[in-house]
Amino acid sequence: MTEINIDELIFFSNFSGLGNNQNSQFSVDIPSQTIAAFFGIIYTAVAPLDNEGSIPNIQIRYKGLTDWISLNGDYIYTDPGFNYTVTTSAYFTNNILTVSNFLINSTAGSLNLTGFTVECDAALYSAPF
Amino acid sequence: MNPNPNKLQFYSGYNIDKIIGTYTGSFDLPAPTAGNTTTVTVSMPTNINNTTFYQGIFSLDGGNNWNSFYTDIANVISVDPSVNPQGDCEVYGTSTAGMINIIGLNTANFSATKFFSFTPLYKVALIAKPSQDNITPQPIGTNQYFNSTYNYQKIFMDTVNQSSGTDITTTVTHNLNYIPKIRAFYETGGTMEIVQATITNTTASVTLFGTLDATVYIRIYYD
Repeated sequence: MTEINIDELIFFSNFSGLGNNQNSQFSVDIPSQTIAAFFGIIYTAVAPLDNEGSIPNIQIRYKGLTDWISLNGDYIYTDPGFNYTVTTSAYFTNNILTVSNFLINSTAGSLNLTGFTVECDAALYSAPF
Repeated sequence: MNPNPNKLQFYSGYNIDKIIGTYTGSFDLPAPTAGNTTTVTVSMPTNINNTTFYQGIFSLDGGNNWNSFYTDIANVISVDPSVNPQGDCEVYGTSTAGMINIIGLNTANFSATKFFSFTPLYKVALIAKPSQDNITPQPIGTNQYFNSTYNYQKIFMDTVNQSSGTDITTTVTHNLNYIPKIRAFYETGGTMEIVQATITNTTASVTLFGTLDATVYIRIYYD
């Protein structure tokens, strides 16, 4: 093909964008609890999404604690008091999207955790692979 | 006046992403030793004399499960489910002038006793960035470029900002009053890479950790 100036096109059918074909909003509650020193807990949020080669866009937030995050690999959150960290990762297995949240008490004493909800907003986009 | 973009699958009055090339393939990612990472980079010419945006996915199990670039996959998933994770594996991409680069990382824990090799499959789409300028269109993997049943992401705004210093946050205002979908990238030293972003009802932010002189791109979509 000949060279073109892509900036001058608003749409050209040979250069389509990413087509959104599935969406899911889901969440998991991490309840209030006492966590022993340096002990970890895992809570997972799951949603059926038929990902047969689409490009995901997954956004999460810890309601009341963070803004929405557009995930790019793992997201690591440390609470302002440096009492605990949460590592969130998202992955597909067998057309199930799992958002795994691993919270670890990073103090040498018991942690009285105030519960919160991990909200997830996932979308799949078809690309012309 | 254009109609409500959040109720449209496609409307020519709104710009959308332009996919200017797609690449698929596989490569061998050898097993690491305990406490180490095997890194393999595969670079393919794009014939585009500039960096581009891109989006990609990979599979470690022959195409049964696909995940976004940067997803850490525990390395027992496709090999021996009876064995606890011995490490993890991820694949991601970068864009450099004239090249798309696919990088595989295969890491073994210090305590690992089993070591796995992989043959990751990858699919990556090049997407025009703002001011992409002249390009020579590259092959696209299917004849179906457009499907009217899909909702094509309509671009609300593109921002390009310079970020210099240490642990700098770049924030742009969108004022959409809802949480939009966004895609964010940064380019430093001639390498473009996807970056995590934070979103509110009115702003989008990217924080670059470390000391960098970079260009930050944030693309915000209506829907």
